[in-house]
Parts: sequence; C-alpha cells; structure tokens
Amino acid sequence: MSMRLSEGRVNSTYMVSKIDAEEGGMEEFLFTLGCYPGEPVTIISRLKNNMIITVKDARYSIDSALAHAICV
Amino acid sequence: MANVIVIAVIAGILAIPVWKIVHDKKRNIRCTSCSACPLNEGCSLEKQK
Amino acid sequence: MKIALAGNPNSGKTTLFNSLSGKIEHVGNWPGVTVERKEGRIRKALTDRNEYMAIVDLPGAYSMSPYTEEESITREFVQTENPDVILNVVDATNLSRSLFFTTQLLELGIPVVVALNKADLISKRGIVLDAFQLSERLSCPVIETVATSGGVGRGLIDLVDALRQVEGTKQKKVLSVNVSDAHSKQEAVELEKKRYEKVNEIVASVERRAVSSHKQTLQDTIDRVVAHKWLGIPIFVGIIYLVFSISQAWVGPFLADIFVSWIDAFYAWVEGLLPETVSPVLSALLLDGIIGGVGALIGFLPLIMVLFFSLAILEDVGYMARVAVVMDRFFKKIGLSGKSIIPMIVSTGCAIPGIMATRTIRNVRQRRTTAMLSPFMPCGAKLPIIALFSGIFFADASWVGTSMYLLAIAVVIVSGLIIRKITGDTSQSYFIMELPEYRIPSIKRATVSMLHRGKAFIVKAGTIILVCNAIVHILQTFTWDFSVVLENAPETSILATLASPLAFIFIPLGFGIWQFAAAAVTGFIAKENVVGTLAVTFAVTNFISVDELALVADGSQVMNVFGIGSVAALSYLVFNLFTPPCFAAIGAMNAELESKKWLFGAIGYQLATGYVLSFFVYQVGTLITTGSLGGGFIGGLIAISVFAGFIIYLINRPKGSVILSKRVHMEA
Repeated sequence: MSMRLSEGRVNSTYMVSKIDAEEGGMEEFLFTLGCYPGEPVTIISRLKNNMIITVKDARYSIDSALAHAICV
Repeated sequence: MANVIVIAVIAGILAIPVWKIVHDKKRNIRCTSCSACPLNEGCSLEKQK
Repeated sequence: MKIALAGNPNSGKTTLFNSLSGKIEHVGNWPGVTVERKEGRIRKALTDRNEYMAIVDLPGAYSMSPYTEEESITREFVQTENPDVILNVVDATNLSRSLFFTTQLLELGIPVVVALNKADLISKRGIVLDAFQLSERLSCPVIETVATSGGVGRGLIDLVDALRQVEGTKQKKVLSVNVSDAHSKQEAVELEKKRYEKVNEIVASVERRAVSSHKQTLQDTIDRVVAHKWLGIPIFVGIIYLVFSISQAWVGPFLADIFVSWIDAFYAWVEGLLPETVSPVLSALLLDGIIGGVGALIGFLPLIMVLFFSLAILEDVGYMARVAVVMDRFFKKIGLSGKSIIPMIVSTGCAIPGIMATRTIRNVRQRRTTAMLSPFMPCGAKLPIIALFSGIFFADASWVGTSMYLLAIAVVIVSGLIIRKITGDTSQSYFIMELPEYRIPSIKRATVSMLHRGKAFIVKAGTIILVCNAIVHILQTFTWDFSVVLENAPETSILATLASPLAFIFIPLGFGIWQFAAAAVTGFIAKENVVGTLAVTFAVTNFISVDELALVADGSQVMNVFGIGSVAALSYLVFNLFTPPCFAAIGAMNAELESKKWLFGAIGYQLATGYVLSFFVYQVGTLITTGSLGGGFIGGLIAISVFAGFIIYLINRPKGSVILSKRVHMEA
C-alpha cells in the first residue's frame, strides 16, 4: 500500500517509491533535483497548503498537490 | 538678443534627450529600467521580433 | 575566447558574472532572477592587456534536459554557440545536486572549469570539502570562489588563470554513461540514475558534513513563522509598511527636503541669470516647463532611492522566495502557479522585465494571464506618483503606499479568477520552488543597486520626461491660433481643449479637470510623466516641501490649488496605478502574449480596471466622508455596467473557440 508524501510526518525521512505526476515533464524535473525512486526526502515543516522538504542538500517548498504526487 | 540666446539654450537642453530617445529607439531599447531588470544588459527586447 | 557561465539556479552565477565583468547586473537571493542570457567581458584587472575574454551568463538550470525554458536557453547556447570554455558555477553547500549538472557538462567535450562558489559558507556549516580531490575526480580544475566578497573577489584570479589554461583542450568524460545510446526512455532513466550513483560516490569521497542537511535549523524555524498560514500575510504587510515608513515618512522626506532646497536654489539661480528683456513665454518654458517639471520629479529621488535600497535589502535577505510561498496559496485558487509570482515580484521594479519573465511559464493560459496581470503591480515609475499623493493629500502616510501594494495583489487575484472563467481553462500546475538560505544582507550590494536604479531614474527624468514636459508646457501656453493664452483663460490652451473631453469621462471618478486628464494621458508614455505634467500644468514645482505651500495644514487650500480633495486624490492615484503602465510595457505584452486578441483584451481590461476601481474609491469614499454620492454617479455606473456586462458575456459564451485557438497556437 503506497503512502503519499502529503501524508508524511514532519521531521521524518521517506524513500521515494514512485512519482505519480499528471503534469508532463514534472517527473523528469524532479529527477534532475534528485527526487526519484529510491532517494530519501525529509519533511522539514508543513505550512498551510505547502510543505518544505529537503532533497539532497537543498530546501524546497512544494504544494500539497505535488506532495500528493510523490509516493513514498 | 537675449531671446535668441534663451532659445538656443532651450534647443540645446532639448536636443540631448531627443538624441538619446532616438538613439535608444534605434537600438530598440524601449525601457530604461535596466538596473531593475533580470534580463539586463543588451536588453533582449531587441532580439525579439 | 568565449566563456559560458552555467550552473544551478541561485548558485551565484550572476554575482560571479558581475565580479568577473565589473558589470552591475541585477541579482537576487532567490532562484530565477536571470531569464535571458547576458554577455560581458572579463574586466581588465583580471586579464592581460590585449586579451579578450567574453563571458555569457546563462539562466540557471538543474540539468541539460530541456524541462524548463531556462534550461532550453542554456542547452541551446552550449550546443550551438560553441563556447571555448564552460565555467560551471557550483554551490559548494549543495554538491550532491549540483554535480549532476556538472557531469552532464563534462560530456560535451568542451573544457570545463568548476567554480566552487559560496566557499565561505562551507566552513560555517561544518562542511569539509576536498577541492583537490574533487578536481581529480572530475578531471577539470576546481577553484574555490566567494563571488559576494568585495574587491577582486576570492579566487577570481585563479579562476581566470584556470580558464586560460584549459582553453583549446578537450574535456575528458568522467562517466561512461551515454544517454544518447539509450534505446528507450526507461533505459535513459536507468543511465541517468547511474549518473547520480557516480555523483553520490564522488560526493561521499570529497565531502564531510558535521551537520546533516535534514536537521532542523534556525532557518527552518524562521520559515515556519514567515510563511505561516495566518502570520505570513500580516508579516508581509508589516514589512511593506515598514519599507514605506522608512522611505516616505522617516528617512526619505528628511533627505528630500535638503535635496529639494538645492533644486529650488538652482531654479532661482537660472531665474537670476535671465535678463529682463527675455520674453516671458521663453523664460516660463525654461523655468516652469523644463526645470520645474523635471525638478518636481527629481525631488522624489531621495524617497525613491531609500525605497529601492530597502527593497534591495529584502531581496538580498532571501525573503522574496518566502513571499512566493505565501502567495502561492491564493494563486492556486485562481489557477496560477508559483511561477507566476516571480514575474509579479519582478514587476515591482519594472513591468517590462516582469512581462518578459513570464516566458518561463509553460502553460499558455497561465503565461498570458500572468503577462496581463503583472503590470498591475506598482512599478518603480509609479512610486513618485504614490509619493506625491501620499505627501500632499495624506501627510506622508505610509498606509497609502502599503495599501496600493495590497490592492494590486487583490486586483491580480480577482482578475486571475475572471480570466480563468473567461478562458474556461481550469488546468493547474504544481508548485515547487527552491528556498534559498537567508543571509545577512550586504549594504554594499543594496547601495550599488540603489545608485544604479537612481541613475536610471535621473536618466529617464532628463530624457523622455523632460521632452514631454516641454511639449506639455508649450501646448498649454498657446491657443489653437498660436497666440499666447491669457492669464485668466487657461482653458483656451491647446492642451486644455484636447484634454477637456477626456476630463468629462473622469467626472464620475472625481477628477474631471483637464490638468488631471492631461497628466493621465502623458502617463501612458511613462508613468513618471503624471508627476511632471501635474507640476507643469498647476505650476507647482515643489511637491516635497508642501509646508511652504501651506497645503498640509489646511485641506481647503489643497482644494484651492488642485481643485480636488483627498478622496478624489486617492481615486486619481488608483486610476494611474491600475491603468496600463506605459507604452513600453504594452510593447512587451505584445511580444509575450503572441496574440492580438489577448493584447487588446489586456489593454481593455487594464483600462476598465483602473476606471472601475477609481470609481468605487471616489464614490464610496465620498459617501463615507460627506454622506452623499460624488458627482456623475449615474454616468459612471452605466459605464461600469457595460464593462461588467461584457465580461459576463465573455464568461458565459461557448468556450469552443478559445480551446481551438489555443490548440492552433501550440502547434505553431
């Protein structure tokens, strides 16, 4: 049963299992950031509709739709 | 006589900006806010159609 | 020798470009500041006498794959322009991601030099990097740099040396990965994964981190407050209010008073030079038309410069990226993404680059909507108008400027919703934005940015505004039969007769006076003209030291000079801020919208928005202050009903044609 990053807890690290993005090219773009199956993602904080995550050594703000598209 | 001098001065004051405006127009620079611009130098406005 | 500067967004490429070339390009501590390539040459202090080293700054890219517009520009340049050397700027604090792009660059066969930028931050973060070993592993020179440091900048001389040495050599590949050999997409992905494995291996051998980047830091705590769901907006409002307080209420006016006294002294000096035999028409043209008109605008320079300085500081700290996060929530609701926020932020400087920055948005409807709405943001040219009206009618109240920013955001959101309804396109985009680290702002960088923008302001005042003022002055001096306008009949001038029919339209807005109508029209040439034209037509050459005009003390005297009260003044301010910014911006919209239908739609919409907002400000304001509606209410209401009716018609008409035209565009 796959879980979505949007359901994740703050301060936890998850392994990406699949990117399930509707928008074409998003999966490839995330790949270039280092966010692809098998890689760890850490949730730093959760704001209203956004969450701040760490991929590799950078912080990103992503919206809940994108967080939902990342399966962990 | 004084009038002629004043006319010359006004013409001189106006000539510089008019020249600059025409010059920028030729280079197709339509905007003078280059320093606020992320596109900057050489302003790619001129590269557009 | 041609050098291409490539690297991840916000790795400091433009800052390095500036240090290398001695130029002062716009930099900001948020990703995506550069959207087009920029060219320069390495400054003489760093090169040998006759050496010519051209350097091209490219937009930030995470990879060579053309996912984004920025990446396409970078990729195209590297592939077609054959640079002699690629200078890859790598953020030393984020090797594990940056090297992915580096390894791709290494495969092009063009010699690569790696600038390990932000080297000063490594030790602060408890990171130990072995640059020598990194150089070995990548088989290319690796030079530690600190592009933000002053003077020649750390590592710059070594960097130029390295560039010189590798020129003409062939770059060795570090990976056996060759994606072009892949037969399927799946295979290509597998190969690229190998690249990451290789990068991870390199990073593991050259980097030691004392603190994992996954740990919470003070920065994260700040983000939680600044981008908080409830606190985010009040904090943003507070910061903008503070910026306006500093620039328009505290520091700005103090400096402006001194500055304006110099302008007045200059005016008096020139006046003294003119012999009495000079025709009054000529001396008035020189004194009131040229010196007075430009002087009135230049008088705002100190206020504007303090504002520019404050905004530069905000940008340098890294706050703008957080604003994008806070605003994303609202933009989501109207079908725009975080990518649309960047052009809006850029537009607070100037709408033209803002409009052009929309090019990075892939969705056609979102791109056009953003290009259409960005000009609503108060740009640098609108600031003197804000300063003028808040100074004269509202005693330098900081809420005037602040509320204009907030109103602009509200207008953008409501308009976005309307446009989405009209086009019927409900597509959504994901939002992802790298959050740059907060840093202590550099006073030097902010000062340089302020001086540069101040210079641009003066140049504009001395060129286009000066010429317009002179023309306005001539037009109001003569009647149609070229005789001089009589003292007691100013309404017979060419300007007055041209502007009066327009003034009629403005009666429901509270400023149906030909001087205001004329200033609104010259404002389309350049917004600063509004100030210049008002100065010339009302023969007020000093808007700063309003005490001398005894305007502040007694509202009725303001009425005597300008013929309008503070409600109408606010209405006029709103009208000027929300109608199309200037012809140059319209030109930029034409280029980016790529559709005449959208262009005319945008101009029409902006005109209507200015009119409608202005109408409400005046009528509601008058109702509140006097208890009855302002003049021309019925006429204005009819006009607004027509606009509203047209928009409702557009929303409700069948959507087929729109979708069809969009498809045609995408194929083209």
